[in-house]
Amino acid sequence: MMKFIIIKTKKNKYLFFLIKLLLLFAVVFIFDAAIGAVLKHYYFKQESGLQYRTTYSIEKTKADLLVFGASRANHHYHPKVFEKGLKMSYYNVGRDGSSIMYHKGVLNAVLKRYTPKIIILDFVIEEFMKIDGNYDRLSSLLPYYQTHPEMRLIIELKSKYEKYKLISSIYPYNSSLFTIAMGNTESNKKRKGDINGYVPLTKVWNDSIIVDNRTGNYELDSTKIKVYESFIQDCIHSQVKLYIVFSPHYIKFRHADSSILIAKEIAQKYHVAFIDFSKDAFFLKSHQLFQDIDHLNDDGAKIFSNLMIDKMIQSRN
Amino acid sequence: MDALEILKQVNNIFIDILDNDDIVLTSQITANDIDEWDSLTHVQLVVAVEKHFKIRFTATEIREWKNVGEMCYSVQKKLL
Amino acid sequence: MLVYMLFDSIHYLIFLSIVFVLNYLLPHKFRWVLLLVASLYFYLVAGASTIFVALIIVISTFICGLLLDRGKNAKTKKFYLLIGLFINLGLLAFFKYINFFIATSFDGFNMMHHFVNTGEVFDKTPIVLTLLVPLGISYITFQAIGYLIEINRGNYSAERNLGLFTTYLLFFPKLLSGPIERAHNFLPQLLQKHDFDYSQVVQGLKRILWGLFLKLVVANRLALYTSAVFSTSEQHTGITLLVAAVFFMFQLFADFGGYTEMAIGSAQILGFRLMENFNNPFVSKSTTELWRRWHISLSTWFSDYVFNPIVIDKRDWNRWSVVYASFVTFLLLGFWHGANWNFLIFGFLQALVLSLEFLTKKSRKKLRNHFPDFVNNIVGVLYVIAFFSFSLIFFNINDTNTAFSIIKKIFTFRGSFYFDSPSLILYSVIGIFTLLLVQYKREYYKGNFSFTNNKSWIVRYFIYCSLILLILLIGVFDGGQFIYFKF
Repeated sequence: MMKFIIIKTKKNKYLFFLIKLLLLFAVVFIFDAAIGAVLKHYYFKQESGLQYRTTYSIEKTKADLLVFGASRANHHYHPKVFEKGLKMSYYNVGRDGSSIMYHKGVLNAVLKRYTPKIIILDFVIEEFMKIDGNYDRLSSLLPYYQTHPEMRLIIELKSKYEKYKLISSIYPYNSSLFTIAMGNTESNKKRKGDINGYVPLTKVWNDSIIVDNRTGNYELDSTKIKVYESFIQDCIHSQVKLYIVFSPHYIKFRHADSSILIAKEIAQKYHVAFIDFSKDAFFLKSHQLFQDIDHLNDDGAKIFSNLMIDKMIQSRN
Repeated sequence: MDALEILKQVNNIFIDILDNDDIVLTSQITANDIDEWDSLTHVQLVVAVEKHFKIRFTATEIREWKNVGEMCYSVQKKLL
Repeated sequence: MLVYMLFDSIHYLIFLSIVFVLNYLLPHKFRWVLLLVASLYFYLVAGASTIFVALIIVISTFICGLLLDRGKNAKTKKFYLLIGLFINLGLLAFFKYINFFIATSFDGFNMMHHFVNTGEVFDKTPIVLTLLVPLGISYITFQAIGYLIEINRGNYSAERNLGLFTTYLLFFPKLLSGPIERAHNFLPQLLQKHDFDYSQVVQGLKRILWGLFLKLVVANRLALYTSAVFSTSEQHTGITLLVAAVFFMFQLFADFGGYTEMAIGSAQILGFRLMENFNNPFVSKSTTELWRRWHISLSTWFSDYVFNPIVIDKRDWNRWSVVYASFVTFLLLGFWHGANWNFLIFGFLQALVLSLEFLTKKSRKKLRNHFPDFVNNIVGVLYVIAFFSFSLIFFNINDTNTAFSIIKKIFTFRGSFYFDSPSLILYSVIGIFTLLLVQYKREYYKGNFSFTNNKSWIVRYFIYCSLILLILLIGVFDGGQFIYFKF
């Protein structure tokens, strides 16, 4: 049969070429699906680590209080303090290096499953800055594209042709091979660096305070601003109590950051509390509560979390 | 001086400059046929040939040689 | 913000597919029109208004070529040649180098003074003209200049069809980063009948695939490390900078070589043969050999039109004519890459080492006779890698002060190695090894067996699949632009 096809089509060289090409694509597609399935299996089999926590945030957690944000969210909000202080379950969905788009993607997935009582969004300076190649970080959400239609619009922001790249089953796991492999080793499975998503930092910052003289002005990315606004809208719509926080730095900022100003403005518009700790004299004097100029250590997190709870109770009244 | 004699003398120059006693030139030979003959040694060969025959080539002539034969022909013309 | 249609973009692959199909559907005599339209479209996507500059170059060169051809005596011919050169070099100099010239003339004295007193080079210009550099101008002008010189030398006659000539200069596979193609190699191909040749099309596709692999899997991955290190070079240790410098050399090859593979492959599936730009450069045992294997279209251009004429002209200086020609050639070659001092230093270093190799040729040969071949080969290869990656620090870092301080650090400061993420280093090293293995195989085991040309279709398909799957699995997408199209 094959020989027959080959002889017939050799007469028409274009057809022969086309068939060979389609054959190649078919073979690639099959292997892509097979290898992709294996990668998917091991990706979701992980029991600890960054990828596991992302999966837990998107698919499993049903905590009453969720903390969103990037590394500062991850290290500043102490679970025991919140659980005791507010008498509710806690999970930290923050992820290092993530942006407002990541937070919105996770929010979509969470709200589809249940309604948390409180959400804290840890907001950072330069969040709305236009940076080329910044959307690349959304790659951490690629594994969830197929099974979470509610996240697709956000993920597609990554690049114009993302939809087509996602036809491949391997692509979502691009560059993760090593991480997935390591995450499935027995030793890594047992290692738990987090408490309900919170990662404590233990070092102490012994240098003097940094003065930041930057103007705080830069080119803005309107898409990011829109996503932030829709984050707020979604919380309000689902009747989640939202707090947006600019948590402490060991930095004296000379000028206000544009992103912070815009975020405050939009929060005000929706009557959402925006709590700003950047000028809090107590933290600016307490180097021992910081691991570095951008992150509180575990001691600092406990103190900060207590102050947060006070502020949260205050704003309720 | 006839073509054969010129070829013989050019052959000796090649042997001397390229430091290889085994070189035997025919009029068809080009730089591709001899290992040591590259664009750098080429100029040394040209200078040596000019000095030996007490002639001077133009840049155009040098550029237009496609093989040893054409080089020798240029020499012959200059000696007339 | 210009958005170039880069070869590793889906936009380009769609564009290429359409051109490919139309190319074989259209009757033979209209094909060059298709290619011209496609090239103009390709240019407009990124270059937009600057296409006018390109067209000025094309048309004026075309006219000069015809006038040259018809010139009755050497003097008139030379006159038109000079006009053509003036227009091309003038436009090139203006768009690319104007800021450099302003800086140098206004600040030249200050710069020298400052350098002599403090050992620092500063290149701050008082006036900076922000001009859009026309796309591919370095490549277009060089092809145009070569064309005119060849006509003047009487080697070829001028092209009489403006459409064909425009297609030659703006042909999209080679527009952004070459190869720098000779008119007499390309123009005849435009008129040849190109029937659908199955094996040529398949070979071309293989080259495109390999080019994508080099760019996405090797170059972009290495770039993650090198850009992280070099953008914050003050914070890194000598050993990190050393590794980053070596990585950068392989990155540059994978980037530029990968691009070239896609360019040659794109042309090949359309039925055209472009010249090779690389010939397994990492098997080189001397810098002289390296420059015969690296960016061949550029080095042969300089060889034919700058180096050899100078050597012949100054041949009375004997060996020193070669040294002199080397310096002139490589300073120009360095400068061609960018309007900055660091490129001149890069060129200077090449000339220096090439001259030293030339002057010590006989004594090195004698030295090598004392050692077995494989020792000489390994020493040679390591020496080339060491020198070339060192000189590329100047190629990569625009600020000469930073470049010098990086070099100082590499030689003095020891410290710990910056790992970034272990997977990054792992993938990078694998990428480099793959690259080197392929080159050694192609150089030394040419006939023995082939992967992509294996007789068994199973082996071939296995290789194609593996490359595609590897691109999907460890390729770095949206990773950034090709380095060489900045020129």
